[in-house]
Amino acid sequence: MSAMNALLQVQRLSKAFGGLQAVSDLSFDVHEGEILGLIGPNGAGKTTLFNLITGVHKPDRGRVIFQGQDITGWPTYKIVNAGIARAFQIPRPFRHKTIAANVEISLIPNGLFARGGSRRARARRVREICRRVGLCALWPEGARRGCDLSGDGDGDCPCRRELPDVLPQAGLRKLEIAKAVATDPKLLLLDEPFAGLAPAEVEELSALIRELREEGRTLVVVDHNMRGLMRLVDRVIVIHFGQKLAEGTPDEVARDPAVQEAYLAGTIEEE
Amino acid sequence: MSVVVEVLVLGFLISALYALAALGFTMIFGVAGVLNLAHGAFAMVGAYVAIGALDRGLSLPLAALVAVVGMALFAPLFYWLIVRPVERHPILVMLGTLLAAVVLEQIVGLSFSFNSQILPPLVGGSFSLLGVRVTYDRVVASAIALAVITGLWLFIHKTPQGKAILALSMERKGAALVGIPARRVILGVWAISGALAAVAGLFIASFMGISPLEERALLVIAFSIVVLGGLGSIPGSLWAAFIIGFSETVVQQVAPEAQGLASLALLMLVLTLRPQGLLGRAAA
Amino acid sequence: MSHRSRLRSRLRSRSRSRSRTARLVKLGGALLALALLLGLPYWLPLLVPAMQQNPFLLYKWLNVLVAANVLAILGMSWDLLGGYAGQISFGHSLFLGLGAYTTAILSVLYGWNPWLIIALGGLVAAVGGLLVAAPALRLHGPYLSLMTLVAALAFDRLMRWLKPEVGIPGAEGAILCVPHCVLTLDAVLKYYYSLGLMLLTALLLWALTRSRVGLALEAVRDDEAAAQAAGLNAAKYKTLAFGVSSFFAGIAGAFYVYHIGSAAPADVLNLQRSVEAIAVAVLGGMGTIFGAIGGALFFKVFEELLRPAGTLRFALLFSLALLILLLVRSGALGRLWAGLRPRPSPPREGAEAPPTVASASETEEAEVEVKAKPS
Repeated sequence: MSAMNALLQVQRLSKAFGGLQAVSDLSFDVHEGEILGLIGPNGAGKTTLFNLITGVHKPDRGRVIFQGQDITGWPTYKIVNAGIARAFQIPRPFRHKTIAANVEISLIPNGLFARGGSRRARARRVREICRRVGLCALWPEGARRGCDLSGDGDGDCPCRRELPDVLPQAGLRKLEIAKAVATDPKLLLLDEPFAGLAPAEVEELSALIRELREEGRTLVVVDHNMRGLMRLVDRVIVIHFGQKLAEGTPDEVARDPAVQEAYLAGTIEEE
Repeated sequence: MSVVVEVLVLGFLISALYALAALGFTMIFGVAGVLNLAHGAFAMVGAYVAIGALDRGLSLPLAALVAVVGMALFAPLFYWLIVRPVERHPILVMLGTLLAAVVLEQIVGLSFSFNSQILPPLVGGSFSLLGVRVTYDRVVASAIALAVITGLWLFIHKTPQGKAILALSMERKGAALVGIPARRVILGVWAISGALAAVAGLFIASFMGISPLEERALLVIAFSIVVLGGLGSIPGSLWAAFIIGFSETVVQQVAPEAQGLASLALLMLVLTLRPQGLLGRAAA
Repeated sequence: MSHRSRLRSRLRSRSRSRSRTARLVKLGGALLALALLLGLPYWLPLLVPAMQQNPFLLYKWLNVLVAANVLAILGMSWDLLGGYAGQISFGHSLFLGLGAYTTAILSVLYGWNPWLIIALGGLVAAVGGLLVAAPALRLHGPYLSLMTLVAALAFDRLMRWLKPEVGIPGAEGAILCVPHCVLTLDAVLKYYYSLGLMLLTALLLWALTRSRVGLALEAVRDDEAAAQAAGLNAAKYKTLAFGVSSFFAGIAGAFYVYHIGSAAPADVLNLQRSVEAIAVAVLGGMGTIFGAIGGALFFKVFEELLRPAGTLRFALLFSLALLILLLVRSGALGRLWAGLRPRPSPPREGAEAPPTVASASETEEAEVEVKAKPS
């Protein structure tokens, strides 16, 4: 693996909580423009890994390098502004703010006098993102006329009126992704985006993830279940007890005996 | 030498009284998640109930008993009327108890006076310890304070009712699952807290005097101790009570004009270095 | 036009007109309140004939309103920090006191232009606010509240200890700065000065909360981790809130000194001032800025109306405030404001049905309901 096309390098990362070794001596690269699947049973340390990469927790040992820059121990907001965004496993919207405001929060620059664009430009970008991730499509056509970029429609988009509470589970996931996309990330970390979704919704979300990749973003998708990921991802890394168990294409990994054993023989095989 | 003994004797007494004042405050936070900012007022009202009872010709021990029992009844009532309606909103709880404290200040001030009053000592006489005059009153007060604290510790760790309190302070949902009647336990804790505040108020009124506005100083001391020790942690509060009690006594001996300022500065320093207190868990 | 689309357009125009009505009512109410406040020295004597015979009665009430305006500035400054940034301060008397003492000292020593001195009072308070913010950034919830309380008490003790030898030293570190700190002897003019300052504060704070900074503050308040994940520097926004809030609290303290002519620990550094600031902001409605104005007017007017009760009035006043808190919980005025604000419609409880792409099989009613309120 050449460092040339490695967007993110995780080097010998370790983190323990009390006696529990959540992540242990884990190393891998994320290549620019790929969709990487990160798979492991519950409690394998996937979410902890995301927390380490995004600066929520500080690693005990090891380094995280993003675009050749050592970002280990940076505060979360700085990592986000450097280009790594993350969608939480359990959606955590700002409940008292409208859907559009939820997305707009990610567009606010930190510099008080920074040019954050006009309010109108921000509103336009919010509408663009809401449409992009399919939030507007949750409403019947008549109600979402305001979401169209062509029309004047200012203020009439349901996303500008409604609170996140009205969204179903799939909608909350989309909002999480919208919030992450609004930070304009190079690397997008999705934590179990398919959990609890119906098959049709999984298809829709997979299409969105592919589109985001077409836009030039790199994605890491975490799941405890390989089935949904097989056709989506380019490469898979399997994590078990905080360590890397296997790495390769979905086919290679599915045939790996160590992986099959870890998954109680065959639960992750395709079909 | 005599200064050292003086500091040790006085520091121990003050620390024990501060611990009494702080324990009820920390228990209520631990069990119900409520910051009772009228806790200082409880101690003050307790002292004035005793003063009022004395004025009506009761003997001192009887007046003290009336005060303690009175506050043990008043505190749950206070909870029911003022805290419970806004229990889910921490900010409204803080504001409500603060407003209630100001109202209590005014009521006591108007019924008695806003000037400082002193309760007579429980026992007279004194003896000499390494050249320092020690009143029996202080010895008795320290002994009572220690006995109350030990009793409370035994109650919490050895009796079923006490264990229910402990369980509730650790995990509310879990406690409900094993069938602990949260509402009743909370009322009980308020009663204990009121009684402890009254005992602290009585001793403080007897050694340092008390005035209606003094309750703010008591609240700040209780609040400081509890935060320093870690909110909801009883052992932490005991440690913190002794740290604050002794540091105040030392400052009083060395630089009396800086009294109050020193302990506040110490508190700010500790808060900055260790935001969750000495033995604390993160606040909700 | 089909039945369905007719229903749709009727529904849309209704919701539009409703929000327009709400906006008009709000605007009308604000203008009416503004007109009432601006014309008060003229209509009040017409309403109370006793004031025509005795102008001092009018002046007395104008002074009450000056105090209300000062309290409103203090309450609004607290609301920015508490209501928007979620940092519950018990120590606003510190910032009030910093502004007051700066003003008292500068007016005696240098006698500069009063407005310059008032601005400097605000600036010194802002510096104090930033100093408190530094450790406060690491603290949360009750720990932060205690920190601010302790800082205010420490300043109170400091002033009583230092006993500044400026002006006419009063008891326990007080400063009497009269006649240096007099803005005007004209009660009506003083009322308008205080009103102007209060309205300016309200406008600036309102604009700030409506800007992207306000949105960022609310995000940090509601979920700091999520705000960080959205790329917001939470520490920076909290520091900003501390700075701005303490600046305006300092302005309130500075103007107060020009109003009463002294700065005393028992007055401006009294814990009661912090309680009043919280009370008017919470009773008026947290997170509204303007609510504190109503809260302050209520508070000061009742304080004056209760004067016949003599020494009992503070007990009555605070009992009344407590009663209102318990009965209305989140603030009567706040609810009024919330009702007038073009708020997003809160979802109904127990609504599980997700709004989905309308399919052809859906009935007319179902679709209308989803459009009106996908719940």
